[in-house]
Amino acid sequence: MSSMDRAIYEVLKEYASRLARRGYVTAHGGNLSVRSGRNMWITRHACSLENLKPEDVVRVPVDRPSSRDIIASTETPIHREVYLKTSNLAILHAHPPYSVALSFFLDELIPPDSEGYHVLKRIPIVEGRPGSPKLAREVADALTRHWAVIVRGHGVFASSKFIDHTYQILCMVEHSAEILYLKRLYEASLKVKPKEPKEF
Amino acid sequence: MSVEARGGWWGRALRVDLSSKEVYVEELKLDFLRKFVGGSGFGVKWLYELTKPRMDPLSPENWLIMAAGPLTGSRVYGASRITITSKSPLTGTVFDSTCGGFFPLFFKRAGFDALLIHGSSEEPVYIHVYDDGADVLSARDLWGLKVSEVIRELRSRHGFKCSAIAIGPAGENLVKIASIMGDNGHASGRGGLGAVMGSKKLKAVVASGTKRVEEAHPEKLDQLLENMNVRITWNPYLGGALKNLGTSALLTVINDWGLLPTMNFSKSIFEGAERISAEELNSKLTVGRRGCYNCPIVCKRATRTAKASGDGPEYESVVNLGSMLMVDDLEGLAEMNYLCNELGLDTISMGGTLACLLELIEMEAVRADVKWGEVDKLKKLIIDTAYRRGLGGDLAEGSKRLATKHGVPEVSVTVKGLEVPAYDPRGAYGMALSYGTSYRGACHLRSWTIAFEVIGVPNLVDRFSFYEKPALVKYTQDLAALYDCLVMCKHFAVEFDEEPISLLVNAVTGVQFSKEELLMVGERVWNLARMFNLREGFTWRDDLLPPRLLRPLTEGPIAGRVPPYHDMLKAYYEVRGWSDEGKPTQETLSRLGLSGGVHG
Ligand code: SF4
Repeated sequence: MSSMDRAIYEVLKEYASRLARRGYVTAHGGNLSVRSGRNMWITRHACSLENLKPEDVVRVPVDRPSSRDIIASTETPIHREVYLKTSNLAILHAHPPYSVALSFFLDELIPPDSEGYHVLKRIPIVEGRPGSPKLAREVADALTRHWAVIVRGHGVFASSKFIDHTYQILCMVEHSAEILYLKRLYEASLKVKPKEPKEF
Repeated sequence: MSVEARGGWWGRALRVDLSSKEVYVEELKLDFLRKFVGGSGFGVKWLYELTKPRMDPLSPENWLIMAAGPLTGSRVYGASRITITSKSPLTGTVFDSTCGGFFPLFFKRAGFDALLIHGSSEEPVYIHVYDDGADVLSARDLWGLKVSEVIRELRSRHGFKCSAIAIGPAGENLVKIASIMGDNGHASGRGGLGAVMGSKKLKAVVASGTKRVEEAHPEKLDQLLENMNVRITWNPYLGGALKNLGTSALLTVINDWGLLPTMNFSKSIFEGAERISAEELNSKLTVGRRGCYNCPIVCKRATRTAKASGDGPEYESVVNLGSMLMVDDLEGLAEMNYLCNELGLDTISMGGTLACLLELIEMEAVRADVKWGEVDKLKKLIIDTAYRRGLGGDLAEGSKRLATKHGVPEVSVTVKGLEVPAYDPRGAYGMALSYGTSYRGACHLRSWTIAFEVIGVPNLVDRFSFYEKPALVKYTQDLAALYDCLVMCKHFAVEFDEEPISLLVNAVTGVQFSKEELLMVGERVWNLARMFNLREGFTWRDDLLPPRLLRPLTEGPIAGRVPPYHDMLKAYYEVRGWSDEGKPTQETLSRLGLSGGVHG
C-alpha cells in the first residue's frame, strides 16, 4: 500500500464511520469516494462502512472501467460519471431515512430550515436502478447544478470539492428532510397551518 | 419422450463400443433422471457402476461418458455445456470436466442425453452423432492433426451446422495432461481426459443434431429468463467485469491482494502483473468476443499477436503460463496459450509442470538450458510435451511424477496429483479447503470461494476467517456439483443459487424439484465421487495440501498467513457427515439414497 493509498484509506474510514454512526447507512450499504488526478479511490462492493478495512478501498481510473471494478462498489459508474461531468473531488452516498422516506412523496426537496434553504436551495429527486448507466447520467447531471441529489426510494448522493464539505452537505440534506417531515406531520396531525418565517 | 417429464431430457443415452464399433440406444428412467439429473451425475454414477477398482485409465476398460443436462439446449442462459467423465490417468480419481461452446447444443439436439464410450479401436476413429443415431467413422486421415485443423475438417465434412470436440497430438501421445478441446478454445481441460480419448484411438466426436429441446412451461420460462437477464446485468461480476473485460479481469485484484501464484507458488505478487492484465489483453491483442451458445455475457476473447492468432488466454492460463513462469510478455504468453490449445494441452497443468521443472533446474536437480521467463524455450518445451520428445517426455507425466522422478516431490504443487490453479490459498482460506477436498484434485471449479472471499458476490466473507469455511465450502461444492449435473456454466453461480435454479429446472422439465432436493442431488454426486476415490484406495491423507502451501510467505499482503488446515479439514468432514477418516457414514449415505452400497 502506497502512502497515498494509506492516507486516502484513513480519510474514507473516518467519514464512512461517521455516516454509520449517524445511522445513514445500514450494515453493508452506502459508498464513498475521493478523486485525485486520473484516479478515484472508492469503497468496495459489500463492505461495511462501520468498520472499513484497508482492502475495502480500491483505486480505479476515472475515465474508463478497469479490471479493479470487479470488487468496487456497484455504484462505481455513478461516481465515475460525476467526476467526469464535474470538477468535484469527493462523493458520499448514504441511505438516510428521512430523505429516503420523503422521496416517495416529492419530486424535489425544498429545505424548510434556513440553513438548508440558503446552502442547498433545492435538492432534486431522480429515479433509476442502482448501478445503471441511466441513473449514473441523471445523478451526474443533477450534481452539475446541485450539491446533492436524492434517488427515489434509495438514498442521497452528495458531492463537492472536499470530503468534509460533502459530509456537511449530506448531513444538511437529511436534517432538512427531517425538519420537513416533522413539520408536515405536525401540520397534518394537529391540522394547523405552520407559521412560515417572513425572512430567513 | 420415454420419461414422464415433459421437457429437458430425451430419456435416452447412446452407448458406443469402440472395440466392436457397435452403437446401442438405451432408455433412462425418470427416477434415475430425478436422482442424478444429468452431466456429472450421470458420469459419476455410471463410472462407479461400470468400472472395476484399480482399472488402468488408459486401458479399453475405462469409460468416457459425455453427458448433457436437462437445461442443455434449452433457452436458459449459460446452459450450453456438457460434462465429460472418466477415470483420470493423471490423478487416478474419478474426473469430470465440463466443456462449453456449441458442441453441447448440437449433441443434445441429436435426441440423446448422454454418450457412453467404451473399448478401444485398432484404427483411429471419430464418432458422428446425428438425429437419433451415431456412426463410428475412420479418422486415419485426421490422426496427427492439430485441434483447429481437425475441427475445420469435420465441419467441412458434416456441414456448417455441427460442432466437434477433439484431441490434438498430446492426446494421441497419451500425455497425462492432455485436454479435450471444443470450438473457439472451449475445453474439457483438466485431468488428462484427452489421453483417455487417445488410448481409445478416438480423435473426435462431431455432433449435428437438429431436434428442438422441449420446454415444459415455455411461458413461465419466458418470465424467468427476463428476470435472469436483469439479474445478470445487475450483477457486478457477470454484467460488469466478466462481460466487459473477460475472465482475466480478476488478475489485478488477485495480485493486489497477494493471491497470485508466482514462480511456482514461491511468491504471491507478480511485478509484471499489469503487463499481462485484462486491460492490456483487451487493448492490445483482442480482435473479437466469443462465447457459448445463448450466453449474454460472452466472456471469451479472440486475440491476435504479431505472429499468430487464436483464443484467450483466459485468467487461469494467464496465471499458469504467465506469473507462474515469470512471463510478462503478453504476446509470448498468448502464443504459448495458442500452442496448448492447438496441441490439446491443459494450460493449468502445463504451466504448473513447467514451473516445477524450472525450479528443479534452478536447484540443479535437472540439467536443462531454460530459465524463468524465457518464452521461446518454454514454447519449445510445450511442443516437446505434446510429442513426448526429450524432456517433454517427463513433462507429459505432470509435475508430481516429474518432481518425484528427480527426488524432490515437494517441488510439485499438486493435490491428488493435479496442479493447483490460480489462487494462492494462503490468501483465501476457503480455497485451501476447496483444493484439498475436491474429488478430482486441486480445483477451483468445484468450490470457488473467491466469489465470497475476494469479489463479495453474493456476499462478502472475511478471507482469513476459518470457522465458517468448512460449511461454506461444502455448500459451494454441492451447488457446483448441481451446476455440473444441469449442466450450467459456473460463472452464473455467483448470482443464481439453488432457488432460482430450481424454478428454471421445473419450467424446462415440468418435474417439480424443490430447491433442497436439487441441492441434495449435488451432495449425492459429491458423496458418490468420494466413494469412487475411496474404492480406488484414496484416504484422508490425499486431502492434504502440498507442504509449500502451508508455509507462510515472508513478503506481501499475506505474509505470515497460513490457514489452520487440519482443524478446517476435521470440521469439514463433520459438516459433510463423514467419519474422522473422511469416509461418508452409513447415515449420510442412506440420507442421500446411496445406502446398500452406492447402487441406490
Ligand atoms: S459466461 Fe463465458 S463460459 Fe460461461 S456460458 Fe457465457 S460465454 Fe460460456
